[in-house]
Amino acid sequence: MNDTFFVSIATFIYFFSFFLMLLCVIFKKRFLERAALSFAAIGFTIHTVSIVLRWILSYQMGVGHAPLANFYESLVFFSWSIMFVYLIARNRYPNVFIGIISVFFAFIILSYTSLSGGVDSAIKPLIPALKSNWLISHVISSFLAYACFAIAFGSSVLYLIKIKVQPAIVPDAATLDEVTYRMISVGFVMLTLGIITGAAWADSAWGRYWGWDPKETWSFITWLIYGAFLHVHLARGWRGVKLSLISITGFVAVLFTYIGVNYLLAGLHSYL
Amino acid sequence: MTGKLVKFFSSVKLTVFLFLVLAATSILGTLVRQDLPLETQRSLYSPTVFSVLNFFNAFDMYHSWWFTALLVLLALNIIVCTRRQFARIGKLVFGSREHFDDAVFRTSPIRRKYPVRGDIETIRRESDDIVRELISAPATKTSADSFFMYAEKGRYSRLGMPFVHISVLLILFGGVIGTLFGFIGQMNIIEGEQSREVTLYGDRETKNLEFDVRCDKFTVDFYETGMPREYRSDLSIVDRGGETLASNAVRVNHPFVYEGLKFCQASYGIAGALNYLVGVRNEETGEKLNLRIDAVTEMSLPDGEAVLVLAKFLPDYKGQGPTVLAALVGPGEKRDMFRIFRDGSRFNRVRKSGLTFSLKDFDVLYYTGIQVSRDPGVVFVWTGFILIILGFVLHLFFSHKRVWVKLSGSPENYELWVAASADKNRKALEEKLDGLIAGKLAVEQTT
Repeated sequence: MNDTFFVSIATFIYFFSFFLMLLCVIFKKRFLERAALSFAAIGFTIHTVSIVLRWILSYQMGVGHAPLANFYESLVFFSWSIMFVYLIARNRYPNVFIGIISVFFAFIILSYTSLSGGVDSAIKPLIPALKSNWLISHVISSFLAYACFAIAFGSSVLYLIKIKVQPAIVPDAATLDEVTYRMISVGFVMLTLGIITGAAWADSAWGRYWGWDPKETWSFITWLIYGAFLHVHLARGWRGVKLSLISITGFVAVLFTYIGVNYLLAGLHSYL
Repeated sequence: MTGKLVKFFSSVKLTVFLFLVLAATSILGTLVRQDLPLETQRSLYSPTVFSVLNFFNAFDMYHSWWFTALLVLLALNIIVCTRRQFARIGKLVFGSREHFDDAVFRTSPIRRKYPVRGDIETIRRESDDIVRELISAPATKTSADSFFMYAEKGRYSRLGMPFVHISVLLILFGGVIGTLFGFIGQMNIIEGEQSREVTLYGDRETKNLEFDVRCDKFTVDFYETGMPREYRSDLSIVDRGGETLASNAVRVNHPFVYEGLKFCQASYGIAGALNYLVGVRNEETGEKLNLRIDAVTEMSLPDGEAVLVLAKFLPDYKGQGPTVLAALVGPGEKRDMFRIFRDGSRFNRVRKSGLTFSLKDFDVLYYTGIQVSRDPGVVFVWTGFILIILGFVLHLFFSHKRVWVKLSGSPENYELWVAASADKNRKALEEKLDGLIAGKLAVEQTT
């Protein structure tokens, strides 16, 4: 059985979970939220199975490697990371809106992998540059960071909607502000780890730990933006709208680091 | 003046300003190519744009004076702020572990006061239990009708953020050392040959190593799909006397380090070919034969005095595949120059001598592109990386918790004072404290 089949099932389940969460917001029924959460957890399990299966399949094909090596695999892992971070963060912030943000992103990203013609889902052997022990730690830390930033982006956008439009159904602004901050502080540490593992890798693959390659530079730009966020939050006591705008800017930088660099700029990091 | 300077460099506004300026200018460096020689850059822009960009060192902006200046300002900013932070936390981290000060019952973020009755020994034991469970075994000062307890945990977690900031300094310092005392460049070595000349990146100057590097063999192998599987150069270090000092294989992600120099597989290319097998067919007699020709020798053809010379090999000639330039010199004839293509190619025509030549086989002669670098700053960078992770771990997973308990008053109406503080997640400590007091201390609660 093909791993992409499981990805499709997970996509549908995430969508259904998202739909239940929306219903829960409108009708305010606890059982809807519980059902939505169960579906999110089932979707996540199937999603995990798809990744493990792909890993096993690659070994059966004789080109065994962790499924973290091309655009398709990175998208599947990105949405997996978002769900992973959400399911952990849920223990502390059992807020249905964090769920809506996460499941929505996971669903959109997975749909893109199957609907867009441009994403090749075939299992390919590793090119020499990717044959490294750093692959797993570098990709995992980077994508956990991206996932945290994605959720922070969602809660910042919700925050701005709450402040500007004041819809009654959106939760209190203070919670959203807090979630944004927590996600960014964890994301920042993971991004730092991603950059460090990337530097160690670059040192063995390209002979230098830092070379101002566009991918490296954009990860640095992203790091600076979120670094600025943490400094104004902790040392200057900024809260609210201004902080949300920094968080949104930061996520634009994340997207550019992840995807934009590869399509718009020439560099060494050409496999995403 | 110094006071003003210190104030300027201790401001977080400066930090945020520098972060945003560094971010904004770094974007410029990804829009303007940084890896091209100046002459190529000149052809990409109009003369005005070129001179403006060149004036601001935009073609090598990450090493420009102004970008370096921004990083130096950031370093000063970190130094001043970290010094100030140490002044604030130094006593908390390195000071006495017995901290008995009545002021805490007025100033601590968490404060409680309970009227209690009963035997002082019982109250002391119950309080001790609470402190132990909340934090750890307390230091206690006792007298006949009073006691004072103090306990703390995780004081070193306060070093987390200073560690992170010092790490950034170490990384910047390592970068400076690398730029000043290191180098990075490339050497292209043909299989079987050796060289000591490294072409440096950037200014394209050359640098001579202390020894020669010989490429014993280069191999590239492919997956069935045609994707490259592995590039490998077998290198040897050869001293001036021709003696081999070390040998090692260099593959992508597996550099070879020799005396602080790092050799990485960077590129490869085809330098030529060897051991040609050339098919010769006599169009009149239909007679065929194969000639094994090494790259340089002239080969007399068996039928007479004509001589075949192979000259330049091309891996691909205008999409027609590999070809070798050949010259045929017959007795009394003008030299005939032509290209020999692979067997079966329609370009292999009958030459004047009535012979047709075809390329049946050859061994490709590769050159390997080896990147050579030395970076004495890298040890500071790795130390910085380890310290920054340690700093984050200290900051994220530990917190400095402190608790004070004091009994005062007389046996008829004792007062039990409790104060506590935590640098992180104070609410959790407060809830745990209140829970323990409610569960373990038989007191009347008044607020």
